[in-house]
Amino acid sequence: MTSPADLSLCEAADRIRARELSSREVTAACIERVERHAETLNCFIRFDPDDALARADAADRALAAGAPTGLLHGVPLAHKDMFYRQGVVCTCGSKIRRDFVPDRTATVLARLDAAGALDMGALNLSEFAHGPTGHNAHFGPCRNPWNPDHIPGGSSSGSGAAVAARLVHGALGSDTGGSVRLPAAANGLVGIKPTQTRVSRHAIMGLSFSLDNVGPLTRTVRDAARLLGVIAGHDPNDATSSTAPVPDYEGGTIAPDVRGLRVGVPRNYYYDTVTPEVKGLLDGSLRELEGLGAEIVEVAVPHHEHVAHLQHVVQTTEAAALHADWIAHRPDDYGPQVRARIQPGLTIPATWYLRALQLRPRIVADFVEQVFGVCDVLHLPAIAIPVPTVAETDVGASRGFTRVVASVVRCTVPMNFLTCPSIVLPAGFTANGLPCAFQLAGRPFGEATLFRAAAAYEAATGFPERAPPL
Amino acid sequence: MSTPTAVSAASLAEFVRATEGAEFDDGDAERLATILANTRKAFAAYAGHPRFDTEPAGIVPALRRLAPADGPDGEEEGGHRRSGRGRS
Repeated sequence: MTSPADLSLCEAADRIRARELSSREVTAACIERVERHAETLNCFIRFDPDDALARADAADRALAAGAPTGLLHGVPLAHKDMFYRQGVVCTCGSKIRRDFVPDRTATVLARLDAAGALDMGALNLSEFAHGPTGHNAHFGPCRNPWNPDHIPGGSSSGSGAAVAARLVHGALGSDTGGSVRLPAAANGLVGIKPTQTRVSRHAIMGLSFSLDNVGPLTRTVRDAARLLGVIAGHDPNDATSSTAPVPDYEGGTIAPDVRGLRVGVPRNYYYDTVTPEVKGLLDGSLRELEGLGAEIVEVAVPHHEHVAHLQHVVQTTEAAALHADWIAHRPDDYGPQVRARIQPGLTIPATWYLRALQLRPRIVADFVEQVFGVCDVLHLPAIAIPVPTVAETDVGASRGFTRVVASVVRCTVPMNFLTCPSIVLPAGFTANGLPCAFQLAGRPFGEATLFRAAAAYEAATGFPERAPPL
Repeated sequence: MSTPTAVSAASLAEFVRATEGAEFDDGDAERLATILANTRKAFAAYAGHPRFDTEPAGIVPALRRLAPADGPDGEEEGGHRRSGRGRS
């Protein structure tokens, strides 16, 4: 029999609710996997097996007693260690917060709890969610389950590695410039950065409040749709969260159809640094969508010569505002690259920061009108090169490290400034045996369309069936 | 008029030490100069646009204009939005 840990999130949840499997059986299978692989992958910062089993038993008892059950009843998850839970240490991947105990719980965790999910512990991340490779000067680099010599992507590195290695059934990450999508891409997973304001950021560690998003990493599209459906929606504790209604994302993944869907392929910017090998795989994913009845159209993407630079000003300034006191008084407690990335923000003029924010609505409106006037979804690269090794990207704060960072995030950063939702899907494997991926981006609040298209592609390619050779 | 990109690393270091108490080395100054140079180019590209005068410096109001008010996105014509315009 297949291990319960190999089931998708929805399969595990549905079989627990149907009492075909107990939450204890599923949780014990995940714990066994964690104990076997977590050290190699270095993906957990905190692991709570006893607590998870106790909660699994409670979930089974509730089910036996006929208590109401949520969509995630008894399913073990774990999340990037930056979502606060009252009374539980949240390190944020840092030395500075190694002993930080929050006095409140993140709305997204409270919503997962209310849906019945179990929390197996806290996952590794880049320090303070800064860094697209998964290196961490304090907790060590997280590693890719497809080949531990390679990076898992970051900053939600542990989320990507743990879900791909089938240690948990799903995980939350955060995405300020690609931090959900990059690990999803590098680990052969589904990951979605939702529309800015779609998901509450209450009681999560901030990096850049204008650009931060919370999103799930999962093995299947339906899993991602279910998790996003649970965490999305207005939160009175986050005044920036949208009051727009949350559609039935998961319902759209059942019997999906992309006939007539217009898939845009960018004429400029995105393919400038894509290697021929990656381009070949991206072309293959486009042919799959075309074969399913989608119409492929070329699109010019406006403003992209400036978007990454404006995003950089906003992100660096906001991060510096959040870190100013620690940078001043505890500079040596930062990893050198993180400090070097934050510090210039202390000197950017306030007027420049505000001008960048002032331009943003106009740029977003132009982009949405010009791009989504001619296509329904935009097909984009995720990482322009084959997934590199841990050693190749271990550049610390050396001269030129910003080029390494910029090259990894080049294709993911624009959608943060542009606010648009973007889902990552596997496109196959490069010659080094590592996953390659593409993004489908949509208009603001267009997540349901992305899920439908992604589910059709998934059904045609069967990508979730392939597991890392651990 | 002098701009921040013209400020020397030494004066930036002194400024950050004095105002924030943080150290600031040549590498930091170089990265800052790059950020500012790139941003200046972006500002130059958008200079003088009339909407610049009144647009509030935040994305939340703009997203309210783009958000669906009464239902899920793009359900027309078999589930795919055919219009290029957002709902208001």
